[in-house]
Amino acid sequence: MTGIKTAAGSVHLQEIGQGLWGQNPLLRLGLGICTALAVSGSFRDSCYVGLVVTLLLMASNTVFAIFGGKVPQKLGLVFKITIIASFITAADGIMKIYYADIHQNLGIYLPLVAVNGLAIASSDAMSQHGSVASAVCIGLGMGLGYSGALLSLAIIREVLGTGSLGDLPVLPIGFSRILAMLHPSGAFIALGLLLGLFSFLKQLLSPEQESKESQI
Amino acid sequence: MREAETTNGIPPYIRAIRSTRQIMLMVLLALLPAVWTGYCHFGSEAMYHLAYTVVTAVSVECVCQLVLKRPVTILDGSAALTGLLLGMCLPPAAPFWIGPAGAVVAIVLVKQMYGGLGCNFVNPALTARALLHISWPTQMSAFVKPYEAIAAVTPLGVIADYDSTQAVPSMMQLFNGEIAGCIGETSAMALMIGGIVLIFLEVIDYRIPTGIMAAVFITASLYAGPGSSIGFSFNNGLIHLLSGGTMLAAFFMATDYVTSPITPKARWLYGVSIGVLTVIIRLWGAYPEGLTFAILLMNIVAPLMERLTFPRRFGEVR
Amino acid sequence: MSSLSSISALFLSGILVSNFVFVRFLGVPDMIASSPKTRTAVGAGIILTLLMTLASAVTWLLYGHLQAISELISLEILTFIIIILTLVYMTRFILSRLNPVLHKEYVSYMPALSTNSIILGATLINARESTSFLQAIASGFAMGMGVLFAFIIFSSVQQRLIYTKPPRALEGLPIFLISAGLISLVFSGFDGLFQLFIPR
Repeated sequence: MTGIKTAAGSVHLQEIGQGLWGQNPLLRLGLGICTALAVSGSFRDSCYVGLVVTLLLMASNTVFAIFGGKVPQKLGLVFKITIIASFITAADGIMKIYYADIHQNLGIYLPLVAVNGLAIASSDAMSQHGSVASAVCIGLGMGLGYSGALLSLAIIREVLGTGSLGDLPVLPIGFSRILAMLHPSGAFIALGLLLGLFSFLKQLLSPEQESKESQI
Repeated sequence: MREAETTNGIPPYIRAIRSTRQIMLMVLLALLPAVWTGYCHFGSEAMYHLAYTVVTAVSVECVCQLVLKRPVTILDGSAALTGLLLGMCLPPAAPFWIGPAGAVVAIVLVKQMYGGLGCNFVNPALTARALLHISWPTQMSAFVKPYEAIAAVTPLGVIADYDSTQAVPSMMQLFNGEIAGCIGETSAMALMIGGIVLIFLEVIDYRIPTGIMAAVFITASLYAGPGSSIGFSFNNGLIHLLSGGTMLAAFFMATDYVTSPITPKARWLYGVSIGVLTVIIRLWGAYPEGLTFAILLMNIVAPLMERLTFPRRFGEVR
Repeated sequence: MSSLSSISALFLSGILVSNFVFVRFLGVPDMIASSPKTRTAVGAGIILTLLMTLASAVTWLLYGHLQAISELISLEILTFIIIILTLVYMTRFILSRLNPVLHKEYVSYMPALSTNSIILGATLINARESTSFLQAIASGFAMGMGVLFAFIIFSSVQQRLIYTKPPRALEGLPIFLISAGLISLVFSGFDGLFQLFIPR
């Protein structure tokens, strides 16, 4: 009994790990770029988005794991989108009530999380067994992976662009802030460089895996 | 993207009579009159700016090529040219680190990250300049009066501010360069000398600069400002033409081989579009220096312009 | 402001100042995924414009009712998505009946429409910001033009990128993003171009 449990446990950890590093939605799979670019100007907003995304992925994956088998093939996509959109609507509503100013900042980018392929990809990544625990772990992993990447980008942009993280001044006074980081072009360039850095690190740390994947 | 590795270099595969180094050298020499007037008007501090920028550009290119394990080509003069052109775009009173910062962006981001000489799709010096403008707008507007180190407004700034108390400089002053502006951009005369020499030596094509200048002049003349009663004013046109780095960009930046179109018709189209767009941005946009963004946009669409104007091959069915 | 100048301002805004792709970030994955062939880019842009205009019109009309039902819950998110999906399937169906050849091409132009942020983004922005039906349509169309413009530009850049050799870590998505950033730089230069149509 214990043996099976630990085996299952390590599989789940592996799944979480995949979402964080190997299959990182933003840095590896290139999903959720629109939202990432838009909200990474502010570290605080990015925290909230990251949280929402993680919870969304876990929740929707759970629903898919439980009900997925019962939906006819043709309606599969519509079903998924409906579930995801419903969760986003709920999140949006909660934000409107409790975090009105952040909701204002995010504007349309929060609802767009519903369609930017992120959640769908995570549902596709669910293991064949369809166990609920596995689904939740994948959702958690991808959500955390996305949040981590998003926050890294946000830190770069906000620190270089405004010299401070929220209310915390980070850069020394003499250092001139790079306003371009707050502009759209800075966002694109920063994300591109971040992706490049990630790709480079991945190559460095696991060259055999890289060459296998690049041959696909 | 690995095509460039399996073929011998970047198309077009035309054997040139002159080497890259010779061409770069000629352009550098053509810029010398403007450098000299920059020195006369703004003193040795301006020269330090140029020096810092050029040295940074060359060393950064060297470092990049070593890190990326590519052959080191700093002796071909292209990095130096980029550095010099960028330096010429800086205001004299800017902080010392601005030039080097721009040089790093130009060489690393726009040139080396894409593969080196010939692989950039926008002009490196201009892209860096645009990024500097966006990132540090106040530092990039640190203009001074020539011969004295007092803060001043450029002629374009003066006419943009319709009720300004400063006098618009005379035509002679604009021509000579006794105006506030960026280090290498003020003297229309010096830049024209260099530019015309390059055209004669067939280093650059006359179509692009002529197109730009004509378009800037005509478009600017068509808009006289709310104060005046006449439909157009040649005076306005001349001011736009002779200041704000129009000459520098027209002769030296827009004509960069890598980012300008090849076919003659496309070159005219390119030049005229740049000119018109520049004046529009200058008059109604937030940045007084419209040329940078105009050229960058045209750089980006230059391939499309080329495709539109390819000569029709005999027997080709469209 | 006369209506002509306000419509022109809309277009200026949609295409240049707040370009949908390069300034508002919407549709970046679609742009990157579209092929370097200009013809494909133009096709995709036109189809998206059509869908955006249509969707903006329909959803704007409904938004008022949705708001009336519930101020708090953003019912429009789910509703708009469903409407958009319906519109997409409808246009596909109509096209397949009218002109099968075009339909085949259409299918290849359109990347994953179900996960498309362009159309949904357009409808949401219009619902929240447009003050009249006409404005919603015009705005949707202007945004579509912006998308078309962006796709064309990017296809041109992609054609050049074929001949570049970036370092391996940057190949693919990273260099596309950096290129988009450099292009976006140009659009920053168009800031404030509104004044063209606002009398001083």
